[in-house]
Amino acid sequence: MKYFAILSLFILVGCETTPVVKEKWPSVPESLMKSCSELKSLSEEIKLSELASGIINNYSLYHECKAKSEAWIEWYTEQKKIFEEAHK
Amino acid sequence: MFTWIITHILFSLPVLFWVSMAMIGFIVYFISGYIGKIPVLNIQAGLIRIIGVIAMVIGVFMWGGSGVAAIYKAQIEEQKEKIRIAEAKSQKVNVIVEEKIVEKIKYIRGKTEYITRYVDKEIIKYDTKFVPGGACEIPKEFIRALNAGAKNNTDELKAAIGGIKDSTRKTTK
Repeated sequence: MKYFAILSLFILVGCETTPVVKEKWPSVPESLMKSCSELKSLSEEIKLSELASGIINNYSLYHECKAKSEAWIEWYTEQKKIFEEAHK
Repeated sequence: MFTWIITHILFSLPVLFWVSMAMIGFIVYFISGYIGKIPVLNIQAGLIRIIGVIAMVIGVFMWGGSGVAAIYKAQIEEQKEKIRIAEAKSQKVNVIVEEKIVEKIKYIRGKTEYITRYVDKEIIKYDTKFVPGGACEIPKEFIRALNAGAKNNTDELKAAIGGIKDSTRKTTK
């Protein structure tokens, strides 16, 4: 019976689990949720200046898309750092 | 099951309750040894001993569980605080990124506008030279190639030439 009393002390250990606290996925800025615009087509009957403007506008759309892509990368990198810090 | 025990029973009762239960169980078990010596109370002594052991075991188990529950509670609070801080930082990052992208797009559009003004001033002079239908008109094939590049679609080009093999395969979504 004395051994049982000593053995019962082991019950003090209880169960060992790590409590889980629910975490919300961070929200993304609205401007990053809009997909890149489609490039514009040109008319076959076109003046040289209109052709140049059309090409330049399409280049501009590319630069805007590139900026968004870089912003996504930055957003992800920063959020990852924050997440890792919180779960050290 | 253990999570349920911890959250609904352990968090509500004080630790002293379980310590008392374990001690009472031990005392009852101890006393049952003396009660057992009285011939009339022999059977009851056995029952009292069992009750004492059960109370002791439950008391010790739940006492240990209370300790674990206290550790859980502290860990949960610590984690909640870390998450609160992380969420605040996350919101800050969102604001910074949003501001940056708005500024960048403004800058890009500003540059485009400037270049367009240059076109409207300098390139426009050559419109009469490259007028459609004229001797130096911009070839339609040139425009078609540009459009195909913009749309990433070679169907119009295939329809026009059909000669050059398109080695790209259509991807299925």
